[in-house]
Amino acid sequence: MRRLIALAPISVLMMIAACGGGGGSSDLGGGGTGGSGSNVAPVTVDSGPNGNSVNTPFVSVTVCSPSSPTTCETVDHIEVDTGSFGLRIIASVLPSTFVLPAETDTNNDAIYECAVFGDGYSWGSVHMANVQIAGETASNIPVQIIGDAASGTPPSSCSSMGSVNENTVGTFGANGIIGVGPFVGDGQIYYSCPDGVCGEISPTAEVANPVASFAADNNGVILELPKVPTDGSATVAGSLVFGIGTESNNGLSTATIYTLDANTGTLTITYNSTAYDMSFLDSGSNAFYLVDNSIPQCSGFYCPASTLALMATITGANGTSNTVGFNIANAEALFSADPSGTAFNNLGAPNTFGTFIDFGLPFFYGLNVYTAIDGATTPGGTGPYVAF
Amino acid sequence: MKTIRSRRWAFGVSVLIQAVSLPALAALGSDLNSVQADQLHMKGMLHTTVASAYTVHEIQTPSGTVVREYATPAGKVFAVAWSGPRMPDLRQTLGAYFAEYTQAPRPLHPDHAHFEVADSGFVLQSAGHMRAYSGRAYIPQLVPQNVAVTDIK
Repeated sequence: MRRLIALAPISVLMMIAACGGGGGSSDLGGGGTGGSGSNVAPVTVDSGPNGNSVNTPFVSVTVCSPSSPTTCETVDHIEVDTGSFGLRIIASVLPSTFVLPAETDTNNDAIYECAVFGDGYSWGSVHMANVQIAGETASNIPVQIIGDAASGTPPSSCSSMGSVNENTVGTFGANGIIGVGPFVGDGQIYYSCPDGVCGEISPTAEVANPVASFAADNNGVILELPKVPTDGSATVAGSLVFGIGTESNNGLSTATIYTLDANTGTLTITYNSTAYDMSFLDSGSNAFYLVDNSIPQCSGFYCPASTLALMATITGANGTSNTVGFNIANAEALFSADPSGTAFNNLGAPNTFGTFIDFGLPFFYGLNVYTAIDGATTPGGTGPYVAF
Repeated sequence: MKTIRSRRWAFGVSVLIQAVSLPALAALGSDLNSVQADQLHMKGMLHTTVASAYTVHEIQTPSGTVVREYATPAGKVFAVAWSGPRMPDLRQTLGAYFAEYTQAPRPLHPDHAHFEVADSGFVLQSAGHMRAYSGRAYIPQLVPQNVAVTDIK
């Protein structure tokens, strides 16, 4: 394991490239690796448990039984996702002897969840757990155990919401996922299945962003990733820092705040003179997803003949606006030149649906990206917002 | 500039004036006059807009998600699109194409926010994250010649 290099948090000053100045380099400032502290969890970008992940950040998370708090399991390669909410673990990575108490409804029936992502759905039971990460603990919160035997076959209304049931490490691409986005509840679909017939219910407590349940440092997170070279990197070590302005290592410094839509968590990204108001920054997306049919595509990514220096303007709901420069390289050339590469700051892909821009993990390299939770108080104001 | 804007505005009004409530809906690729199954299944409010090249049947579901079904003048559903806080019932919406969707190959380097099917006879693009999903599906051979795919959204 790489030793984390202790660095003072580096303030991030957005370099605003002047129009026509030929900017577009990805030199947006410097991301720290957060140093150490009870609110700092090491983050690794690597090829993941399936060996095919790119631009996917992972952490280790420990879950303990609330009824037996010293009975714990630590799971590595949990994906860090600022685009979802709550902790989910693939059942098969937990020992069969490790049992968490089920969350039940008012009839004492076990609760099941259909968690829907853009690429599929995950069906599994909801259990109560003490969630520990770094020195922080969220006590007795609902978490989803995906693909556990007790959950059985998903009901038709669940399987109608996606292409495949991502209920194994192979199909899910990680041992689990920790949603630390700008909301608390996950807004997903819950069921109870008395007598084997599943029907939708409203649970007393949804699977929720664990950060909001920490005793302290509970108003948001900072994902801090160092710069990566233009030809990619086999692995990257960074930090997931809990709290905003709650400790000496998580101040906002000179970061600029972009507030988010209070319902959807989206902001506006303007690209090629078109403003896309349903856009977002997402550590769970592996590329700059743009709306641009002029760039050649291959293998689901962009493959321009030569690296493109592009610009986009990010505008918060608060009206704060800045232009950022970034590069899009030829994805196939990147992958073939560095077959072991998993971290690329210049990987782009078409958002073929074409109604929003999604700045995925490539945007995060070299930055400290803050995500403040809806309704939470921070020194920079009330969430939801992102800042960098 | 003002003239162009007002012309566009006037066009928008003319389209809206033609809006009528029709109960007829169907899944992708099937005939419009066959069922109103989608609307009933989704317990949604239906609003139909008639444009020159196609009609749009918009279902507002109780979750807040909007499903739009695009039909040719001959009454064939050539495209569907959705956006909102909950993924719609794609088994219902895609009809016979749902199986193709579920059996499509997975990407080499996947993430959880995007999935695409790009076959010669069926295209599906799904994107988004919790609380904000969107996507569309269409049958290239059925899209009327004067309709841009980018208009399906």
